[in-house]
Amino acid sequence: MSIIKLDEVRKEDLQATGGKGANLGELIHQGFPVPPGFVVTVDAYAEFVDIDSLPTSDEIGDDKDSFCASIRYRIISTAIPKALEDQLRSHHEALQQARDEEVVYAVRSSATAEDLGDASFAGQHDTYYYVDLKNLSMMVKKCWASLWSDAAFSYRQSHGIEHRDVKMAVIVQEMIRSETSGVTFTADPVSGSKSVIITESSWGMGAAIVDGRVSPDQYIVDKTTGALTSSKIADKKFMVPPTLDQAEVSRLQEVPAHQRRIESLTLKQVGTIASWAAKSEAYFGSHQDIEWAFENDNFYMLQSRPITIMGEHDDHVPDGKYVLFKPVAENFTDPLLPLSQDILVKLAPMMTVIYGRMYMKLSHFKTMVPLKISDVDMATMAYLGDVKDIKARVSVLKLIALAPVTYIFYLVFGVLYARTSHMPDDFMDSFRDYFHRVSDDPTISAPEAMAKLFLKPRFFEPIGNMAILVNISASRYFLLLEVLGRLLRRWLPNLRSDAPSLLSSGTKGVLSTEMGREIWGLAKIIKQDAALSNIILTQEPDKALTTLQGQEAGTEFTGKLASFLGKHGHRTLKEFELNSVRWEEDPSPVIAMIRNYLLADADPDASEARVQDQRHALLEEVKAGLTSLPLEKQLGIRFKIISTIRDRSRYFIKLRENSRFYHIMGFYAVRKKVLQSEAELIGKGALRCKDDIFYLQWREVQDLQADKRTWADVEDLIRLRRMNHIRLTKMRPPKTIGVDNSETEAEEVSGNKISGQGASPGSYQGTARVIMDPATDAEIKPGEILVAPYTDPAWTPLFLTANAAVIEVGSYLSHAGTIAREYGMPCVVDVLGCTSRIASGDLIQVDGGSGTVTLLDHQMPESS
Amino acid sequence: MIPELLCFLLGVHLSVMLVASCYRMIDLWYRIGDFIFRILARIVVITALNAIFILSFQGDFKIALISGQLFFLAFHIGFFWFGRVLVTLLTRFKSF
Repeated sequence: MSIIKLDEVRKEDLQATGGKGANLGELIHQGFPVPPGFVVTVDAYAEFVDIDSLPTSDEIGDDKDSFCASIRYRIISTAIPKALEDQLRSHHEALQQARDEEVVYAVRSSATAEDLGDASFAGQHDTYYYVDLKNLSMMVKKCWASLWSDAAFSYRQSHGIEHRDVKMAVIVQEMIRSETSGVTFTADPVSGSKSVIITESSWGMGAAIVDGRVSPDQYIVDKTTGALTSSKIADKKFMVPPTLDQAEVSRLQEVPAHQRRIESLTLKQVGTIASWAAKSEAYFGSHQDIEWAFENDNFYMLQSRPITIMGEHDDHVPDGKYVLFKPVAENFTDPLLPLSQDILVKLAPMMTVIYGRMYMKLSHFKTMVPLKISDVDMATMAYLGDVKDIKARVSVLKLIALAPVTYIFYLVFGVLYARTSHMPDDFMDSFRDYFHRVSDDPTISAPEAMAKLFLKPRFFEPIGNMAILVNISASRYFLLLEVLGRLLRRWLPNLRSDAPSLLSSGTKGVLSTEMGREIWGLAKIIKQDAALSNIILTQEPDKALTTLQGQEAGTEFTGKLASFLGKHGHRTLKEFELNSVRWEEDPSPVIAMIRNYLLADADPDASEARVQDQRHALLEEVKAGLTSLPLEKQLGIRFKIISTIRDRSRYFIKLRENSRFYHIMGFYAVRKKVLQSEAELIGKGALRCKDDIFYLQWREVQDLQADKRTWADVEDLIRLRRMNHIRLTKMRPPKTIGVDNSETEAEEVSGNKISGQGASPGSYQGTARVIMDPATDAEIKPGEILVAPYTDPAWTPLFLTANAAVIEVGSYLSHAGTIAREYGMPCVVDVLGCTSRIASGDLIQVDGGSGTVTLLDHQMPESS
Repeated sequence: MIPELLCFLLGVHLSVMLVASCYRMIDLWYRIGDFIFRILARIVVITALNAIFILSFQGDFKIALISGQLFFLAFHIGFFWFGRVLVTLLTRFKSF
């Protein structure tokens, strides 16, 4: 039989209908709300391709790509037998009779080896949506051909599956024109937790979620009690609409602004989904991955299959010992996209990408440090830059061997260090001109821009044009801070332990701090006018900006905003990621920050003045304390030494921050180059969707530019990498790889105390507020403690309302630490798992001096 | 031998300071009106320091000092060209 109606299929029919088809048939039989349809059986496929004539795996030669291409060509170019064509038509007519409007289909592949538990074939075989009768037979053939895609072939090969034994059925199922859709897991596929049901949902058709093109809302339901334990509402920018013109090239449409940040499911709908998911799990006897949709508030289950990867990460981890590269990890927790990895990391020879994050080989550190030290201590030192509690002895041999290396370092960087020792604040402004010269030159490619702006030394260039070298030379602050701390401890042992950091903060001319002040200045303009405030507070940021531009009262604001963007437009969230849209391209995040300032109703000027007073008082205390030491009253030498070291460390901290400001600008130039290439490729049809280019490597982009590859060659690759990126996003990268530091990690989370790194001094007890994204859940009440995965400039307004901060990643000089010190609030960074261990509403104690967070009263996670 | 080595290292250091002070002309060119006298003063002082050391050293010490100065100049110029070639090779090697 070539075609079987779905409601006649049973699980025993797996060999005729494939795993997916058998599952759907069984679900209908058991009363699950599955859309009607039919299955083109594997017999039809076997007959069509003449399966007995196909070679076995052993008989297929080395040129697998050509072999697969020839079979795909044969399938697509051969007409479907008339008898099968007639059957397709009659089954369509049977379904059409019960409908007023034309029935369109989702056409899905259902191979006989799919979903077997140990091999998911997820994303390997094709699915087509919006298929009408006219295109039905072609899409059935395309599904058959996808069994012979290069990716599916390699996948079978790697799992030891005989190619000829795998056959393909095709499910033709009535398309649900869903207003909301999504996927549900009856266990957490990332952590492996079996006590939860996780639902991800978004507007429109489910393809956008399945392809990983949208950030969906996430709802977590406790499997035992059925209670909603957590909900996160995402900014849903794109959707696949329920109806689509066939002529449209791109399926994705922008979600209307008013819909983007509202919940895509009601509480009742979440309950309905969880209930059917639990029934499916109970019926199949294994954890299920379910695709579902709502049409006119009716629930439909589109697919249910076993979750094949539970809490496992099968990424290639190279041999050796590695430590997470903190300067990048502290700025954002997401993995880098493939193109960013390729361009940014390939030119940094000491870096290795694992789990999408940048790691450094521990052996590099061990070679450079003249100490006899264990791997664990070395990793702690490399990651935290912390030498306290580290057991190490100086290695004389290493010291001797390192002497010439150190001298070569001096020869290479001596002039650079001398050139950057005493420069005015604005000396790096010339980098902006250099940035424009490189960005505006169409002959320079993205990697060339990277090399020019960051790596290639130039003999007659001013030092201001070499942002990354200035950044390296500024690392002297670390040594100066250490010396300052030691001297203060020696001369004034009773002085507060955070004195070096407090004395070194508050430098004028730090561009990132000035940026915060300028945004506050923009907020003050808005604050003066109730009508303008109302626009910012009530409208979506992008719409608010358009409204303000059309108002005469908004002229001053829009003028100042344009000037602000001219200076800071290269900044954004996740600045190291080339895919991040810069403020110049979309100023909505700036408007959102202004909105947060208005909501915070706090005065940064007053906070700064308070810390300035504290700093001044501390300096006076130091001066007074030193006078009790011999000859200090007469000569004042010690205070002069402290003041000089303090001034120098403040200068180099400023240099580090400002050079970072400019090398972020360099990344924007590289992004501009990538966007140029993307526009060309979309123009000629080699790419179909915006942002897809970031899932390719530069070599693949070059192949598309040179027509050596086409969209068909990269479509699957992009989809698979997109899915892998989502998976990596959900995993917390280990700080070390290949180093047994389980004791250290366990200590960090022992009892109700979590250890981190103190970044801003002081102690505070209060209610925690966990915020994962400042753009979507920025509500924080005065006096609460901000708990966040990372922070960058977009988070700054939240520091005005909060009284303390606990951050999952970061370091002393990360954004959180810098801002917290500016505002004089306790801050602990690098707190492992704080956003999952601490729930909003928990009573916690933050000690910025010792770098600890204590959970005093732990609440159940709240739902919103 | 050690005194000669120390003279060589001193020569290198003096050369580093002289090169860095000359670079200030390029680095501060955008505000040359404000800084010209300070830049020139620094160059004069460091050149004078170099001259004083050369004139006051004799025999092997003088040769070691001058060798150190010339060595660094050659190293500095060579390093720029080496760096450029290295980055070019690196970008090619990494299949961009």
